[in-house]
Amino acid sequence: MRRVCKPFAFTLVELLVVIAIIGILVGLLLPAVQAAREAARRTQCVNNMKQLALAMHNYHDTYGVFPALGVRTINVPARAWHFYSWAMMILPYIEQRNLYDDVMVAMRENSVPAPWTNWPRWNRDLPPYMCPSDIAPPDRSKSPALLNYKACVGDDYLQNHLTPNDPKVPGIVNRGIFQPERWVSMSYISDGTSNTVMLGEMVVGGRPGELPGGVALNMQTPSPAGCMARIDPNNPRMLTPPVQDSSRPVGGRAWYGLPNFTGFATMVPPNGPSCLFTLDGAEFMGTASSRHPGGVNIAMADGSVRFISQTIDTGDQAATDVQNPGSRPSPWGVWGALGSCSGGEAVSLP
Amino acid sequence: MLNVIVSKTAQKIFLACFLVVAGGCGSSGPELAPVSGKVTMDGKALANVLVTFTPVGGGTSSSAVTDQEGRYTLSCHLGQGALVGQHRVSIHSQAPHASGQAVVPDEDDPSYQPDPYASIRAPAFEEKIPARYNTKSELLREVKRGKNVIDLELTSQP
Repeated sequence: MRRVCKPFAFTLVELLVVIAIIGILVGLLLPAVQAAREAARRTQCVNNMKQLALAMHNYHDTYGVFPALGVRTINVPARAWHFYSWAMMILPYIEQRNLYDDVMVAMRENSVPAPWTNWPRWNRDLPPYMCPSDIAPPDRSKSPALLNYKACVGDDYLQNHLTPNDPKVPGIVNRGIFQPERWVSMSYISDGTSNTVMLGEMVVGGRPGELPGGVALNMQTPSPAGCMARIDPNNPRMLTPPVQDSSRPVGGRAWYGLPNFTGFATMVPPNGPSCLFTLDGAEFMGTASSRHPGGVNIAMADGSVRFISQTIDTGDQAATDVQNPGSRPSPWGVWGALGSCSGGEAVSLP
Repeated sequence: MLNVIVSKTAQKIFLACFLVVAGGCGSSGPELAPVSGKVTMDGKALANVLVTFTPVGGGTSSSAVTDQEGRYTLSCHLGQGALVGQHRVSIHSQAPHASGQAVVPDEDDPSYQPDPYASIRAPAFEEKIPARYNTKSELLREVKRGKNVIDLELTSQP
């Protein structure tokens, strides 16, 4: 038998091969596209951080000092812990003078609410305070404004929420640039402005207890290793309970000037867990974190923005924090030394 | 017949491409190996102590807290286990914690006051584990590729 005319058509196998080839090509292309998108978001994130570092410098040019981590309006017992953050004080330098003036008027009239209140005037997310790589937290009931960029309190955490004039423990001085009600000038940074961290990024918080961004409560040992041990060994993306609940996402309160919402410490390596000493927690071992692959961005006090790998040397993590760290050199390696502003260890980044 | 040959070749090409793509997905970073074991002091299990493995050449350390039987499983933010290589091991007691598993207070309650002096009021505790196992540790252990079981047998007398 002879075939006269073969009908022109694809066989099933040919079709499958074509589909497979297209599938492979898409499979190769898609990660590249996603990586390019993330690179663009990271560039935006770095740009925001640079703008905030410049705003800090402009504030310094105006007042001769960097802003304090937080300030109180009136020292009355019921509001003793209502600190208003550095993120509020630099608003005029990121073209948000209207919001700043609104709040200052309310402060003069003594009608400003607690910094975690969803007050309509400040209930807004400002794009310069947000990293586009991050995702918003699910619960915004007590989170008036998101903040991805945190001020560095140095490589210590016990009492880093107290002011230098605290009535019970006066004379507490943080090892970093920022502390509530302490304003330092650039000349105070004796390790050098290019060797000292000013700002770092932190994810605003996903599901409670999930890394990055999760906060473990009730830490037992004041060492970074004690915080790292809160990672669940059976599921290294989660922390063991108790953890901070969803109504207090760590980056949800831009106007709250205490380390647990607007500060971080350089003790646990980047993208590690954060920990609170107590349940309600003022004493916060905050850890830089991001959704960029492999590390976090930080801004040094000279305004330069650098990328820090999550495998940076963190020294002896089992070394405990001490109540008055004074001028001891940082036990937590390069990362700890970068956080202290006058620790006597001027470590430069490679 | 031609179809069969084509499909066989196509299968081979497809398989090769798949392997290349799948092989490219391996994570590139420092190598971790799972580490677990038991901590004992003079033969008795040490519960609720903090075990930390710090690489001798610097780098990311891994830590864990022992359970009631003294068992631990290391992890760090990079994943389960510890970096492959030589480590300095330290074992610290954990402070008994005052506030326990209480309910987190409501900060909108007008009478609410956070506890800013918790660490100052925390009772000082005595480290019962000798300093040669923690602050002046000379305990070296090697983490090898593959699964590691590292039992730490401490003695109270040198």
